[in-house]
Amino acid sequence: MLNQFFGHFLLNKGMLTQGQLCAVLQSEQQIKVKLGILAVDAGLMTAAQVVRIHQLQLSKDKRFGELAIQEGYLTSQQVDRLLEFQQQGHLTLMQAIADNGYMTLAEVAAALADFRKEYDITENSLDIDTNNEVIKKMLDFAAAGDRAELLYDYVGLLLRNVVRFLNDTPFICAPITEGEQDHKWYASQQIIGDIALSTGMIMDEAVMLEIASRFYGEKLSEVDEMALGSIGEFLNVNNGVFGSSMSDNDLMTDLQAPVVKSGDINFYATNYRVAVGTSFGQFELILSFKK
Amino acid sequence: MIVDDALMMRTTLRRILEKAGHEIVGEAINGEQAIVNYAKCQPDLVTMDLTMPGLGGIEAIKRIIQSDSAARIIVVSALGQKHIIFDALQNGAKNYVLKPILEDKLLSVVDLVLEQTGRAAAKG
Repeated sequence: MLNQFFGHFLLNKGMLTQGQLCAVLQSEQQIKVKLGILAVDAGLMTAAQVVRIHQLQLSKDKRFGELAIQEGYLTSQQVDRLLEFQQQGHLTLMQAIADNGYMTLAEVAAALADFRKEYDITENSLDIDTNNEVIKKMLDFAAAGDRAELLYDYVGLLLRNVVRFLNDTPFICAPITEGEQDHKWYASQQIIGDIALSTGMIMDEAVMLEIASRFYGEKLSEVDEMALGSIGEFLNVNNGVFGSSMSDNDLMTDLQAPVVKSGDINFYATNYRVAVGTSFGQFELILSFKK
Repeated sequence: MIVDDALMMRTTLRRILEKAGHEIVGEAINGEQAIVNYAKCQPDLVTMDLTMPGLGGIEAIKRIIQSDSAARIIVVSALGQKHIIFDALQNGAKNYVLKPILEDKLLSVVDLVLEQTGRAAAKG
């Protein structure tokens, strides 16, 4: 799970450019241990069952996990756990950096040691970020006062949901300068109730279509009602999980319907922006508290 | 009948339910349309989103239950809306499913509601 933070560290230190990090994340996906291997290793499927799913994949454009559930080999919870495990290996990130020739393995190892030292990460805790300790060192929400914790929680959750629902490794990066980005799309949703938080994502069309496709589970190649709805649902599900965690703290929230639109966007004067990079491009997360 | 403002959700729900042998007799994209289409289509079961522009799911549930107290309505809602789901159940919804939709969970809730209300063989 801390891949994105290590990536951010390498960016900040000038060891990788953003383009190089994207390339690394793309090749990292190719060297990930296959889900079938993980399922066999965990004793959840037999090798024969994995072969059968691979055969089915030849005729059906579906993911391994989806077919394994359909065939009754795995439950959706088991697939979720395997996917989570598959995403966590920071070793694959190190390997991808070295494979791409951007750094030697020794340089990556040294950078990882520096990263651990700078962020107080022990060897055993590299794959978790309980209490968003690492995010807090990367982002400064001090201006939000006693509500800063909510913002850190929100960013941490969104990054985890990019891993979970979009099957990618997000990282915090420098925002794209105004005017450099292509035609922009804006997805927003208001969280109301005990917390009144406006949440939004700004992205160009290519990134929007990729997020929409990944969340829906099928390739969407044009901005239509399906793509707009998929982006809205991604935000809705993310905010639903956020609301649920807030209710554990006795804060009751509700969600207004998400809105997705293009063109000029007006923000509240005070907002908090976080640029999130992925292997397919970046989007900007915008959060603001309503007065 | 499927009620959700997002085409992506309506398509996903339709695909899962049709694959399991259910027939979708109608769709609606908001609460107003849900009330009208419920009267028109008389579905065995309704999946109802809660967060929709215009008339929301809770109000639609209330009005559908007023006109047909035996209506079988399953709420399909984001995780963080527990208290609103409770509101929906108090107003007559029979059960709920959380987004993101898990196929086996949705189908087991649909079957359960149909069974409990004596429509186990409602598949078209």
